Amino acid sequence: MTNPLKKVKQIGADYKQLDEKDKKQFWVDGILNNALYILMALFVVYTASVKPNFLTLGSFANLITQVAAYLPMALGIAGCIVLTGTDLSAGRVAGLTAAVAGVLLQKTDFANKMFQNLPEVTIGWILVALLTVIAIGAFVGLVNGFFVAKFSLHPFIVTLSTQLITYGIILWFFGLNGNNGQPISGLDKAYKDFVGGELFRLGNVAIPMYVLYAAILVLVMWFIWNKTAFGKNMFAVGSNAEAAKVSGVNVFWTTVLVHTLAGAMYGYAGFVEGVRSGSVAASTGLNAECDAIAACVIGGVSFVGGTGSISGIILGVFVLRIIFVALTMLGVDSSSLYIIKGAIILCACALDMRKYLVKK
Amino acid sequence: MEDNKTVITDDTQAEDKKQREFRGLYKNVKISVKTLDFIIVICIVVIVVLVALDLRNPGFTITFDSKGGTDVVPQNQMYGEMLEVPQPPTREGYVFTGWYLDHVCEELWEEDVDVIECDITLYAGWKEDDCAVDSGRVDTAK
Amino acid sequence: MAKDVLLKMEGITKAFPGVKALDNVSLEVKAGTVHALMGENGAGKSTLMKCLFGIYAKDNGHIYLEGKEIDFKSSKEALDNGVAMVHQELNQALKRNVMDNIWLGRYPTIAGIAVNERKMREDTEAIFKELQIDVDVHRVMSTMPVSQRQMVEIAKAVSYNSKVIVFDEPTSSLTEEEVEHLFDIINMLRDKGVGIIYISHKMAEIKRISDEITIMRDGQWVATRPAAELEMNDIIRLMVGRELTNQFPPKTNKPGEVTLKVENLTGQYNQLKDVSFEAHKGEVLGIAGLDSSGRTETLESIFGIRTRKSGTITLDGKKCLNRNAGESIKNGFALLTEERRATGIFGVLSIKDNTVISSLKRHKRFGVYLSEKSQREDTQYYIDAMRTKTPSQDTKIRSLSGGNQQKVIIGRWLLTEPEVLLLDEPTRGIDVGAKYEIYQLILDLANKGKTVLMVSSEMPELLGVCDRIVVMSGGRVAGEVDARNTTQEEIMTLAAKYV
Repeated sequence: MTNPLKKVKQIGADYKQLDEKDKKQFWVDGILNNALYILMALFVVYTASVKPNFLTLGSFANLITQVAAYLPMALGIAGCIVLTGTDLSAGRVAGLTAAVAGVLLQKTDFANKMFQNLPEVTIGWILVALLTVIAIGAFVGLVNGFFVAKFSLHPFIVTLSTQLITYGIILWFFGLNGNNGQPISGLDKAYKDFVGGELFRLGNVAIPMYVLYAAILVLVMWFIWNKTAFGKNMFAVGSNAEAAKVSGVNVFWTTVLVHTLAGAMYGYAGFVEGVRSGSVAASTGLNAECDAIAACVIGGVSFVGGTGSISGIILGVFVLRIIFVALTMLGVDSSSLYIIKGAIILCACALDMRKYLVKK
Repeated sequence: MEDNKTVITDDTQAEDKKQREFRGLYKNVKISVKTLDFIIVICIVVIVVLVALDLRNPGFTITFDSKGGTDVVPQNQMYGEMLEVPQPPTREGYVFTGWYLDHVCEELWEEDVDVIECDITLYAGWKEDDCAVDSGRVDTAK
Repeated sequence: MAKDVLLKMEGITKAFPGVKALDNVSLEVKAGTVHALMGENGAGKSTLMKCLFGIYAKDNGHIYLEGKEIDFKSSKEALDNGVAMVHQELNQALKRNVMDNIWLGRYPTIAGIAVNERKMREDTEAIFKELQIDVDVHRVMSTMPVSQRQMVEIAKAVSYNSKVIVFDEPTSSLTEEEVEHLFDIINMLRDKGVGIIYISHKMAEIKRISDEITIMRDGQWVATRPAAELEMNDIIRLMVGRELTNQFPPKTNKPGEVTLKVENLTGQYNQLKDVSFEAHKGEVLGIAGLDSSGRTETLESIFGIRTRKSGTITLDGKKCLNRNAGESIKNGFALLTEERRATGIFGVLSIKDNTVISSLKRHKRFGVYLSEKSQREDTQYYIDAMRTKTPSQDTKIRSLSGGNQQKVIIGRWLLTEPEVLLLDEPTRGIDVGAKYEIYQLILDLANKGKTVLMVSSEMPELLGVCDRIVVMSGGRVAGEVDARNTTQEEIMTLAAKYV
């Protein structure tokens, strides 16, 4: 859009016209509004100075890989946030679909195989499994969307219920065929290659196939958000549901479809997650929605509703991942990471609110 | 009734209507920017302090589940470092086959390739000791 | 007679980023007088009051109450010091009773613990008696009509022994009788020596009630004169800064044959009962009535966003079910809602998105893809046709003025190529110049053979723009008049028929 250099010049010119008090305010605003980016920069600089291998091609490749893994869920949940809602069931849905994909695609000769009579894992069977898990995710999303739209309930309540229900189904699933809650492992090599196989090498780190898939998903979602009537309707409903109703937008179907699409995204996320962690346990996907929501809010998908962009979501996921990669390299304890995650979400909400209030 | 004409709509009306504007989750937000600034600063400080505290004792814990064998002491390693290969555990009637990432012993931890990236638990792999059965009971402990 | 100056605001200046909302404004309110404050949209009246009550911090200037400089930090502090405001939008605890609302936050107590209900009741009744308000003090607020709730608000202001009371558009939801009562109360307060600031846009009221008038324009003080010296035209001239020759464009439309027939419309969850009327091609049909007489409900029921119990809608001999907005749009209806901010605009979206949202089908290519180019063309067409003032198509609509927002929404509806336009208060919250343009637009549409139904609370507007006027009362049609040979009195009589 506008030339960034010009924009900076413009800001500089504006700045010169401000008086002392406003100048101070300019800096306070600037620092606070960008607090998370500054925090990220701080961690990056510190980590780079302590761990020289942080700023290498390999570590960059690692970052891209992580972003590609976390992006699909954020893309899905962002639609719910645009509708001024949220989705707490995302992580569990991904956990369930990871388990289903894992069971469908276990090695044929694996001793602890849960279902013995499944066909051999071929590319066709992998695609069937992929479609199955996407359908499962979409179904849970459909249930979410139906109750959110029909009951006019806040999505917190609805998705909290489906989260619990999904978890129950996961536990039940892990107990099938005498599995007794054991993690599902022994995933077939074809499945692993399909998801995690080498796309190309960056430095000495392999970039897996799912980076490509994530890129495709980004393109698809960008098209849906910006170039379809459904996307326009989604923003209209998020911005003002009453006005959308008057304008002839079918608010019910828009809400249902947004949640269904989100569910399909979680389904895909689960499909990838299984390969990424090597085996699927009942706890797979736990709290994954927190990362996704945080990334969206950081990326400017505001709880005010009706605002947000795909590029913002990507930026949000990147910022969050950079912070966590830096912290893991520094060796920060995982229990502390939870507290930090919580603080980041609160901070992002406060920032979002601040931007909204100052504009008003 | 000439002067009964209502000519000007008032701006207060327009402004009060603004209150009713659809504002999503923030429609009930009543908080000053100052308070928000304070909250933001607190959050950032909490994060930085936590990181600083944690950096005094950094690293990841690797725990070993010997699955019936002798206990192995947990290790603490930094990100990207390799495992300090411990003394293999022992178990009566079995031969140790290596450390695995999963409890059913599918994913072998390759000691000279894999690096530590997070807290992990490694599981001992065991194979029944054929020769021990053949030659009667051989005490492999010690 | 010379009276003491009670409240003095001097050189008040307040700037927001980019605009100077108040520029060196002064205001003097004398004890025992009613001081009217007038001005166009954005003239700065409410900003001035917000500075008085400490909702905004003033950048410059001084405020004196009885000679002492004051600087309130909140409306609570203002109340404690005897400066009260009766809001147009009432902020009351609706589920509580009258007494609770008056003494909220300062309940009289016994020994500092238990609430002294008896004292509360007696005090409330004393105030009500003084003001001749006939309301049961135990009644729950939500069960009372707006006018009575407003009386409670006034009683609350009096209970603080206020020296200055600000009335902000107090009559906008009152019937004529209630207005009389309100004026009695205001006169009584004036006689007691209270200084009253009266904000309103109704000329007749201002002329009747006020002693002095201060006029503001564009955040600046323009004039303060005794009310007796000002004629209505002077006031308008001072407010707009120019002479207003014609309030309404010439009527040129010629109504044709009947197109729209509404028969026995009865609402499921509202008071509508057996509403029937006809509208002609190329006609502007006005719908008059008091607030809550069912005007808005009629339009919304026709458009299908309110549930009908029974009734039929026929357009050009074809029965229209109009079960939801989408279906109504397909059948050639368009509805401009009354509350633009609540149900009209998508505040955070761009002008373009606001314009095309109801007519996305026009831009579809290959079944899914929306053509950016055709969306921009349509938007630009209506920005030009309506002379909407906006920096670009990508500007967020909430940054536009009310009149320009209204034009964007009208553009949205025209893009759906409607045959029947249902306009609910199309000029509310819009300033004089823009109103004229909207009237012109309505008549142009009628000239093109569209049928326009227009609800308005402003009687002169209905008389000036419409061909016929249907008057509603208590959810029913009370009568129908020809706009050319009727009077406001006739309409008001009809409007009170079923109240």
